[in-house]
Amino acid sequence: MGGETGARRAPARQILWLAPGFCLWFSALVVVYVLHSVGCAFGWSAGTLRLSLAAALIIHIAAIAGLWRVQALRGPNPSFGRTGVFLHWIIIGTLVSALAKIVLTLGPTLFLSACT
Amino acid sequence: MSSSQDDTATSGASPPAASAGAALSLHRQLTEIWKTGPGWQRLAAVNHSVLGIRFMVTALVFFAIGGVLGMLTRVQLATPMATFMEPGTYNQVFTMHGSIMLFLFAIPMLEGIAVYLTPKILGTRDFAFPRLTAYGYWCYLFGGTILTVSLLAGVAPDSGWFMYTPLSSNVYTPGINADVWLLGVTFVEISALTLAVEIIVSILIMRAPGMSLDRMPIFGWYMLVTALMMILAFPPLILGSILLESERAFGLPFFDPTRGGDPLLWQHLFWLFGHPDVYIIFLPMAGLLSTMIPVLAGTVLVGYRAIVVAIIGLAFASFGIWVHHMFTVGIPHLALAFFSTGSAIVAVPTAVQIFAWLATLAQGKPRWNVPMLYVFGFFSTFVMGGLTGVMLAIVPFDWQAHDTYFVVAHFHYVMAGSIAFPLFGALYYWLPLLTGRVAVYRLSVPAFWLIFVGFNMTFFLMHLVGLLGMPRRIYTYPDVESWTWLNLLSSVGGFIMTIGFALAVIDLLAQIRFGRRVRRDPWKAATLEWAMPIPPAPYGFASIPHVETRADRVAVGEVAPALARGEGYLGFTRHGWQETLGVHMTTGEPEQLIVLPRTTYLPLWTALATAAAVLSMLAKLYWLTALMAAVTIALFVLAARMAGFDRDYGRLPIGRGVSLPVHTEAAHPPAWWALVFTLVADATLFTSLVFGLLFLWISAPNWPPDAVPDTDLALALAAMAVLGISALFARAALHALVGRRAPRLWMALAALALLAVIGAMVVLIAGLAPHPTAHALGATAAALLTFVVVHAGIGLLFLLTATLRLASGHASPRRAIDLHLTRLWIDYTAITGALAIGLVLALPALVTMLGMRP
Repeated sequence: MGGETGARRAPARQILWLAPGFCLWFSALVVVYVLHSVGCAFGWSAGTLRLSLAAALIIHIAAIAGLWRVQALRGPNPSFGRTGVFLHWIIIGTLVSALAKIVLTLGPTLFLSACT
Repeated sequence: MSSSQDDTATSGASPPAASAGAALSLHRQLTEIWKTGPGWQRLAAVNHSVLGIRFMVTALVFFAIGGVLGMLTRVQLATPMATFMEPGTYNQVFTMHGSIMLFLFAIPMLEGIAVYLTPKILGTRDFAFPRLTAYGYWCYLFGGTILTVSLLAGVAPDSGWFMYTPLSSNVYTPGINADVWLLGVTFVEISALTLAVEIIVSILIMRAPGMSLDRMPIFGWYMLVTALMMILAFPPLILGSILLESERAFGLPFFDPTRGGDPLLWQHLFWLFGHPDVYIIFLPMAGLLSTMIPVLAGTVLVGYRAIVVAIIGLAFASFGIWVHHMFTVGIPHLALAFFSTGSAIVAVPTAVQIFAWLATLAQGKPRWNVPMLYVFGFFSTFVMGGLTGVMLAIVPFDWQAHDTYFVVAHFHYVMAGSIAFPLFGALYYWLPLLTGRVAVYRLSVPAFWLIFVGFNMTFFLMHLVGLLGMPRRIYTYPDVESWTWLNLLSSVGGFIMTIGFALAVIDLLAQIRFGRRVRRDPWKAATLEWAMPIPPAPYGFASIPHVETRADRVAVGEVAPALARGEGYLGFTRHGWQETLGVHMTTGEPEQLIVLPRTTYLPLWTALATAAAVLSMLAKLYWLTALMAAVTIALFVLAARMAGFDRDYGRLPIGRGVSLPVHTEAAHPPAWWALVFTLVADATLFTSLVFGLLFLWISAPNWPPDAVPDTDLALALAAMAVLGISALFARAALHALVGRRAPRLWMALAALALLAVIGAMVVLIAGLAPHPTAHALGATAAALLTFVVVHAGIGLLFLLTATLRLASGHASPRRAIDLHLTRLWIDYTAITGALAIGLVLALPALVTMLGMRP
C-alpha cells in the first residue's frame, strides 16, 4: 500500500447532506400527525383540516424536490475526487427515496375521512 | 515533512522493524504496552478484543437463560390447563424471557461484535474511549445480574417486556417488580448509549488512513447507521422509564388518567424506542451477512451504493412507523393509514439488501459450508417474518391478529431470522479469528438442521394458533381441540430447537478446544481483520495500514506481513504509549495522533458505584442513592482529570514521513465529537419530554386541571437571562485560555451563574401550580425545570473538571479541549433551558386554548 495523492478533500459537512431528505420526510410525518391531532381536538372543519394537511405535504415535497434539483444540477464536485462522487450519488439516492416515501405514505391518506 | 528515521530517533521512538527478527521485537514491545495483565488485573482490562469477547460470552449466557425461560413457557403451554407454573410465576417468566432476549442478549451481542470487530475491520488499534467501553461492559453485567437475581428472588418484572401502564403502575404492581425493570433496563440502556456514541466517533475519525467513506467496508456503514439510530432511539425509553419510576416512587402522574396523565404516553415513548430497536438489532447482523456472503461466494459485494442508501432509508423509516404497535388503541383512520403505509414500505429497503445478497451469490460460486447453511437459514426465516410483518402492517388484518400468537410467530421469525441464524453463521466464520482454530464440524450440520426444523416447528404453528384466536400472554388455555395439538407440537419443536442450539454450542466449544490451528485467513477473505496474526495480539495491527482500495478488496496475504514488519504507520513504540491515528471524516486523511489510556480499575469502581446507586433506589434508600451518585460523579471527574497529558508535544512523527499533532492539541479530538453526539442523544430526550407535555395537553383526560398554572414570570425570565450570561462567561473563559490569559475569573463567574439558575429552578419547582403530584401538568412542568437543574449541574462539573486540569497542567492554550467542551455544554444548556422555561411560562396560554375545544 503506497501514499495518498493530494486532491482537495470532500469536506466533512458533506456527510450532513445524507440526512435532509429523510429528515424532511420525518418532519412531514410529524407535522401531518400534529396538525391532524390539533385540528381534530379543536374541531376544525374537514375542509380546513384537509387543506392544512395538503399544504404541509406540498411544502415538504417541494423542499425535497428542491434539494434534489440543487444536487442534481450541481453534480459531483470533481475537485472532491472519488469520495465526493460517491457521496453525491448517495445523497441523490436518499433524496429520491425520501421523495417517493413521502408521496406514497402521506399522499393517499389525505383522501381518507379525518378525525374518525 | 521530516524523515521518519530522524524524527523517530529524536522523539524517543524506536525505529521501524526491517526484518523478521525486528518484527518479533516490535511485536514484543507492542504486546508489553497493550497487554492486559493476568489474574485480578483482568478486571482492569480496557482492550477492545478482551471486552468484545466478554460482551459476547456474557450475551450468550443471557441467551441461554432467556432460552430456558422460553422453554419453561412452552412446557406450561404444551397442554391445556397445565399446572406447571402459577400464573404469577408465568408472568415473570415470559416477561423476563422477552426482556432478557432483547435487552441482555440482542443489543449487548451486537455491541460485543461491534467492539471486537469494528476496530480491526477499519484498520485501527482500538476504539476511541477504552475506559468507557469497560464501564459499559460492567454496567451491562451488573444491570443484567440485578434483573436475573430478581427472577430467583421471585420479584422479577411481570407486566410483559414492554411494561404497559397502568398494569406496571403502582396501583396494579405495588411490589418492586416493575422498579427492577425500570431501573435495571435503564442502567443497561445508558451503558448501551455510551457505547453507541463511542462507535460513531470511532468509525467517523479512527479509520485507517486512506480509508475514505467510499472505501470503508460495508460493515462500517452498517455500524455507523446503527449507532446513530441508538442515540436517537434509546432516549425516549430512558425518559419513559424515568417518568414511570418517578410516578411509582414520588406520585408524579404522567400516566395516571385520573390526574391528567395518559397510559398511551408510555406506549408512544416505548414504541418510539421499540420499533427502531428491532432494526438496531437487525442492521449489524445484516452487516455481518454483507461481509460474509461475498467471501463465501468468492466475489465482491453487489450493490454497495444501493445498500448504503437502503441502510440510511431503513434507519429513518424505522422511526416513522412506531404506531403500528398501537393500531388498536383508538387512533383516527387517517393516522392509522400513514403508519400502515409506512410499515409496508419499510420492507423495500430491506428487500434491496436481500436482493443485493442474492445477486452476490448469483454472481459468485457459493461454498456450501456451515456458515452458508446459517445464511440460508437467515434467508428463509427472515423473509417469512418480513412477509408476515407486511401482513400485520395492514390495519384490518392487524385488528384481527393483534395480541394473538400470530404476532408472537411474526416477531420470532424476524428476530431469530435476523439475529440467531446470522449470529451462528458469524461465529463459525469468525471463530478462527478469535481462537486461531478452524471448526471440527462433526456436530455443526446436524445441529443446524435441528435448530432449523425445531425453530420452524415451534413458531410456524403459532401463526395458525394465533389465527384460530389464541391470545398471547396467557398462562393457560381451555381444551379447544384446534389449539391443543398445535401448542403441543410447538412445544415439541421448542425442545428440538433447544437440542440443536446445545449441540451447536458444544460444537463451537469443541472448535475452541480441539480445532485445527490456522495461522491466517482460512476463508481467503479480503477484509482487514484477517491481516493480522490470529488470534489477534492485544495491539491488533503492528503497524497501521494505508488503504488504497475499498477495504473489502485487501490483498491480505501481502498486507499482513508488511504490517507485521512495521511498514505501515506507527510501526514503532514511543514512551510506552498506546498509539493509534485519527483521520478526516470523509477522506481518511490522517489528522491526529491519538494516545489511548491503558489498563485501569476505574471503570469497574465507577460501575460498582452506579450499581449501588441503582440498588439503593430499588430499596428506596434515597439518601444512599444521593451518596452513591456523588461517588459515581466523583469517579467520572477523576477519570477526566487523568486523561491526556500535562505538557504540549507539538507534532510527532507517525512514520512514512508524516508528523501529526497529538489528539490533546488537535482542533477536534475524539472527546469533542463524543460530546456532540451525546448532545444529539440528550436533545432527543428533551424533544421526547416536550412531546410528552404536548401529547398530554392535547389528548389526556381530565385537562385542564383545577389549579391555574402561575409561574413567577420575573424569576423565570431572570433565570433565562442568567443562563445566557453563563454561556457568555464560558466563551470568555475559553477565549482567555486560548489567548494565554487567566480564565479562572470567567470560569468562576460562569459557575456562579449556573448556581443562580439552579436556585431559581428550585424555587420555581417549589411554587408550581398545580402541584406535581396533583396533576400531570404540574408533573411535566417539574420535569422540564428539573431538566434545567440537571444540565446546569453537569455544567458545574465541566467547570470543576476544567479547573482541576488547569491546576495540574493538563489544560493549556494548545490543550484547551476542556473549555471547548464546557462552552459547548453550557451553550446547549442555555438553549434547551430557555425552551424549557419558555414552555413552562406558556402553560397558562396552553390551558386557556383548551377552552376553545368544542
